[in-house]
Order: sequence, then C-alpha cells, then structure tokens
Amino acid sequence: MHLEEPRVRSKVLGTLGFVLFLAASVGCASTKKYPLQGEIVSKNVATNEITVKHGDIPGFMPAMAMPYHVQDPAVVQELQPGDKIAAEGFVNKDTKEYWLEDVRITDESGRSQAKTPVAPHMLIPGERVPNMAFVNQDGRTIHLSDFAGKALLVTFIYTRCPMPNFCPRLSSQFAKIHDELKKNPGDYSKTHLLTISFDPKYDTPPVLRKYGLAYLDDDANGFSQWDFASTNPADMARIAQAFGLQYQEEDNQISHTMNIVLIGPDGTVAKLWSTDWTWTELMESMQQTLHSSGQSSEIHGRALYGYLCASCHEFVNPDLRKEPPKLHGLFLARTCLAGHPPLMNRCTTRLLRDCGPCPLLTSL
Amino acid sequence: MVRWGKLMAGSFLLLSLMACSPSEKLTNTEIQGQWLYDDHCAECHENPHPELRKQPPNLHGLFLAKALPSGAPATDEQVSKTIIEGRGTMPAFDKRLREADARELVAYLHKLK
Repeated sequence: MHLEEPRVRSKVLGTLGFVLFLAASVGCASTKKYPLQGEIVSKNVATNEITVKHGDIPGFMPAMAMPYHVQDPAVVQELQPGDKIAAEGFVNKDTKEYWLEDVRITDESGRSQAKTPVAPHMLIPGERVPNMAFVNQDGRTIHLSDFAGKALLVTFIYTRCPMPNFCPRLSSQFAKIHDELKKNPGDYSKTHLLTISFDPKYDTPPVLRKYGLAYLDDDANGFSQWDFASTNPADMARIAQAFGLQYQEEDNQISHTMNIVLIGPDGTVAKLWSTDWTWTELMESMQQTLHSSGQSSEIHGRALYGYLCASCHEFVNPDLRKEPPKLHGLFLARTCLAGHPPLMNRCTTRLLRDCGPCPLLTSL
Repeated sequence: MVRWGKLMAGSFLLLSLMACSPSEKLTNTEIQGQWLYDDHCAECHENPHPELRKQPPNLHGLFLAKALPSGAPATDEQVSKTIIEGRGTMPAFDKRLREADARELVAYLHKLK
C-alpha cells in the first residue's frame, strides 16, 4: 500500500479526523460534572430551583448554601427542606451556567426538623420600604430617605467574595449600568445605585472605598451616584429579611443568595430579582419606573412620608405615650392637628414647630 | 501494514499529547500550590467570566516578565501581597488563605509556564 493511493489517503485522513475529533472532545469539553452532596434548605417550584447547603466542591463551588436549577420539575416537587441529597453538578465553562441532574434523596429523616427559611416579612412590589441607615464609603451616614424621588437600585455583596458569578459579576453589572446612566445626565441625576455589604466587620468604609473605586475606574466623582455601604450586623439581618437575602458566614467565607431590589421614586418596591437578570433589564426597569412615576413634588413627598412618617402614623406602636394620629385626610379637616387652620404652608410650619413628640418633624 | 500501524500509533500519541499537557515533576509545596490554584484562582484566571468589569490576567509565565500585569515588580512578596490584600477588582483572600498558602501558590506560579 502507498499513501499516495487515493483510497488509502482518504482512509488515513478519515482516521486522523476521527482522532482529532476524539482529542477535541477529551481535551476541550465545555461542560464539567462534579458530584455534590448536601441538604435542601428551600425550594422554589415556580423556578425549578432548590437551595442546597453543601461542603466544598473543589473546582466547582466552595462550601455554601446556594440555589441550583434542576432539570426535572418532578424532582423539585418531591424534595423537601431538610432532605439530604446526592446529585451531579454540571457547569458549562463557556456560558457559566450551572445546574443539577440525577438528584437523589439519601436521607429524608431531617424533614420534620427543617427550619423555615428566614423571611418573616419579605417586601413585595408596591410595598413601602422602611427607612434604613447605612455608613457609606466615606464614613458618612446615609438613609434610604436621602434617595426619595429617585429610582434606587440596591444590591448586596461582600468585597472578599471569590466567586466570579456572584459579587464580582453583580458589581460589574452595576458598573455597566453606572456607565450607561452617566451618558444621559437627565437620568443620571434621578437615579442612584447602592451596594450594601453584609460583611461589616471586614468591609469598613476604607475597604468599601477601595472596592468602589476599582469599579468606578478610580473616579471618586462616581460615588455621588453610587454608594458602597454597610451597617451593623443586627440591622443587616433585618434588612436581609426585608429583601429576601440569605447569607451565612462559615469558615471565613459567606454563602449568600443574590438579590437586587429596585425602589421607585415614591419609596415603594418597584421590582425584585433573585435570579435571571441582565444589566440592560435592570437599567431599563430603572428608567421605566422613573418615567412612569413622574417627578412631581408629591412623588418625592410620598417617598419621604413612607420613609419618615409611616412607621409611626400608619402602624401605631401601642407603647407610645401619645398615639401619633392618622394623617389621612389631614387637609380635609377644618383645623389641622395643631389646631391651626389647614392652610398647607402655615399648618405644616406650625406642625413642625408644635409637634413635640414627633422626633422627625422637630429635626427636619 | 507496518506503516499503517505506525500511523495509528502516531495518531494516538498525538491524541494523548493534546488531551494532557506535559507536566514536569513538582515538589510537595508546588503540588499544594497547584491545588490551591485550581480551587481559588483558576476559575477567574484561566477562563474569566465575560461579564467581569476587568478581565483577570492569565498567570502562565507570570514570573518570566519583569513586571506583573499591574505594572508592579514581579516578586514573590508582591504576588503574595496581591493574593492576601487583593488588587483592583480582584478580591482579597485575607482570612481565607494564610501566608503559608500564599507561599505555596507563589511556588506553583513559578512553575506555571
């Protein structure tokens, strides 16, 4: 036989092609499989997701509790919080998608002891957001009420997060949104970004400032529209409950969910995301909520009322010495609360002066 | 037939070369560093997530250049400092990696060509 013979040459080329195909499939497979064992923390039948607490899986995930998509909806139906499972974790190196297959319950004796996920009152779209205080990258105290009248996009990170799909991706997306908003001065001045760290012990103001500058291309002017802040652990737990954020420190790293909240100019929740979003969708939602709610002084006032007044005047605390009155129809009455005629400016001015028990009014 | 056999053998040699890169013998410290690299560094530095603000640099041949991608001198101390304290958008590995871990990582990075 001779290689120059056409029949032999085609056989050789065919074999070489097969060998190269085999090499490509062995050396360059874009999907990798990792065995996973863990415990079900919660499940979401609507999105076919289960949150699994698991140990370190080298090359795939560090020890954490995180949501995974499951291919088969019937499996999600069957699983219950507290179940111990074994599964195959898959990650596509190109698209960065990951999911679970072949999920098997290895022990269901923990079902009855499973704790309900921590979310006693998670805010839903349309609800007023309580006023919350933070310390930002400059060491200055900021309140959500500072952003009344603006579309405020909030997310949660910790600066040491080593998972590129998590905090680095969130901050990168926020940086992209910041870049785009900056191109339109009209929208830029009416929007704000807020990145909150749930690791206040490590993420002090100087650490947050350094982190923020890295995403602002070292332009400190960007902090005027994008704050990086944290608060004390007790308040952080309360804030996490309000926004459905779950996080847990373990072995010097923090496992956490990814949550984004859009607060409208009126101080209510406009939209919440915990999975599946793009930066363009986030930015468009900001612009939509901004343009649909308008920019009237009533909208700004409504937000301030929600942040500063509603907690007393809407949900009265029975332990208070003097019960704060309902303010609905305040200006429909013949006299205002302080007994003065309900002429808006005069009445409000006198309220500010006379309303002793209200700490907010006296401090305004 | 002999030529055909040689061709097949050569093809399988090619296959094995493509699937596994040749590895020189590593010391125990370098092997520890390799494990740490695979666990903590490879995901960003080998195959960066396309949405990241700044693409993490490839670390192969890091110590062959005089300067690190950041422009800082390519010294063991500088690389260890970057691992523990972070730099730019790279997170600090403080608390998660000890200085001894950083030394093992640096030892492996010297071998990563």
